[in-house]
Amino acid sequence: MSVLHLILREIAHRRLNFVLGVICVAMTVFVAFGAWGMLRGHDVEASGILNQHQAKTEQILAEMDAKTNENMKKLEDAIRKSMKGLGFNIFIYPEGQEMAEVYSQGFASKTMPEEYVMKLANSEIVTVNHLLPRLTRKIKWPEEERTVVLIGVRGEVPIAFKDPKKPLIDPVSEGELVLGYELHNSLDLEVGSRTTLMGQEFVVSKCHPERGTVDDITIWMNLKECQLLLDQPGQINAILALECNCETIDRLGEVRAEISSILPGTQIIEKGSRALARAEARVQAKKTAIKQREETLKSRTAQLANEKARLDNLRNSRESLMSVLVPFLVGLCLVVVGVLSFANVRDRQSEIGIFRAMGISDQHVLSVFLGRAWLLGCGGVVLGLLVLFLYEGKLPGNLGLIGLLGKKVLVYALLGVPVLACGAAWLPSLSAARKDPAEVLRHD
Amino acid sequence: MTDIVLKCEKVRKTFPAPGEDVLAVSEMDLEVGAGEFVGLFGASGCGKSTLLLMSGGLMEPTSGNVEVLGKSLYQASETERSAFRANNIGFLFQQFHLVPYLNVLENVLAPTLAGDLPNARESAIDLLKQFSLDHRLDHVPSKLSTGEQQRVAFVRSILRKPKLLLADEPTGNLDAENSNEVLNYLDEFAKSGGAVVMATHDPVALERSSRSIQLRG
Repeated sequence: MSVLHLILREIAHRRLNFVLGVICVAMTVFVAFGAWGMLRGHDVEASGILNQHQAKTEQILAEMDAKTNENMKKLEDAIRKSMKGLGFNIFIYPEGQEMAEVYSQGFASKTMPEEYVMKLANSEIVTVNHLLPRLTRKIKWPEEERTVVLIGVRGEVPIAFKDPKKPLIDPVSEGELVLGYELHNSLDLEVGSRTTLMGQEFVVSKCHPERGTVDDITIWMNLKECQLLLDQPGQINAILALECNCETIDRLGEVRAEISSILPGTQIIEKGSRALARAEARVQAKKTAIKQREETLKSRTAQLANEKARLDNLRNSRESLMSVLVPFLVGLCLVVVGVLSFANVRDRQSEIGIFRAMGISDQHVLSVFLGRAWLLGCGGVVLGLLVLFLYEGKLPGNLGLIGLLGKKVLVYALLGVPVLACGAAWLPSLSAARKDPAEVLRHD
Repeated sequence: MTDIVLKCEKVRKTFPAPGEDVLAVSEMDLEVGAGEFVGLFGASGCGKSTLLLMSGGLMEPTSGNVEVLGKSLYQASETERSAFRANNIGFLFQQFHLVPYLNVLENVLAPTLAGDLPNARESAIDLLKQFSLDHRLDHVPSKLSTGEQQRVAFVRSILRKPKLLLADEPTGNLDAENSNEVLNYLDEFAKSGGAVVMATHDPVALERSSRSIQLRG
């Protein structure tokens, strides 16, 4: 006769008590490990959803980028075509010059050293081709009592490292003047005529046709003479750069970057042109595309954050429920197993007494009751896990129970739950082992 | 007198109670030798069962000494006492105390839980045959008559061949025929060299004992 044989016979005899215990443990195992699996499954599923959303966002943005790039390329090509052969012109103004003043009166009041143009010319600047320094002032032509724009110009300053370029405009020689239409027309001057400006005599070397702009009241003269005349030797107030060319579509930015590195503080504006408007339209289009991209990204990011928050909330609510339910069920299960064990001990008082009378030790009696509890735990955990396996398809994540919890956890469950059942039955078992046999057997 | 199997010296047992402790056994001296069949009698509550339990090492006396086969039971540890009881003392009770979910053979083999017994199964079957229970081996106690149950209990108590058999009202639940049968077994056990101490109210049973002692509460 072995202890195991005795336990098995007793279990077969008092089936209800044992079956109730097994069902209780099985339910607890089912709920506890089901809850665990559900939370793990939730994490797996949530991670999948978020990754999918992230991938979709990246795909949308990539598509948008591709479309934007395609549109930009088309626009760039169109601009290049429209700009072909035109180049573009820029003005370089002195540091600190208020640009509002330039726009309102057409020239800068501040000046900069004429060496600046040499500095540029001697640099390895690539975006600028023709450099034309100038000094412009609006003056009163005392001899003729009229207001004119006086521009001192100098011939093109060749850029040192490039091949010599063909000058775009002819310089005005010393002692000569070039007159705008309104001036030569109203003063009845023509090429070869002599006239006096601020006390100096000049020969009219060229007369421009009518342009309908400020050029019509402009006098062009040699830069050096102009500087002396205006008492600003060695000073200019603008450098005109013609036929600029850039590799990128953001040409003004490129030119600015390059010039700023050579002449820090100077201000560069493009001379008003259709090309400029087109370039600005392109920049605007790009800005719009970038803005759309940012908005899309923002929207998708917000959606992702909302989805994450929703999933987190769902997890938190599930976790909070489980964090109450599972400990409650585990506690309840331990209590039930304990109560059932107490009931079993109570039903077996006579048996305990006679066993002790037969010389069976208290350790043996303890092992009989703990062995029963251990078998109860084994039965419960096996049944609970089997039922859970039947329902594993209901768990989120589609990984199955082993995939979600891992084999190790299941092995620990198989080992740990019977130990817990023994723990729950410990006090009743101990009370059985310590039962005074005389109390049971004495009837006097 | 032959070899002393049981020796009680000034054994006293009181049970705690509110106010004054209840005296169950007072300064009792008892010697039982091998081959003796001693009957204890007295009024209910005079301490017969208490004396038997103290003699069997199941209840420690308040004072005095109990020796079985020269071993002072209550100077040994609980574990030693259990082992000693398993090998040397048998119990027989009025209520049989058969384990309800074990069949006849398993009930008889139950004492082997206390320790291995060579050829226990064969011995058990032989004994059950001797007591005409061989056709009941697979039957659970509830399927047996009271006489059969008491015989099973008797066989169980002698399986490990104890030197001392303590019987507490062994005929209390039996009819005259079955009582006689059980008394015959006890008598035979004593004649075979064992010592029997029986507590009883039954005058017929008392007449079968070789010595009777009256206890006064």
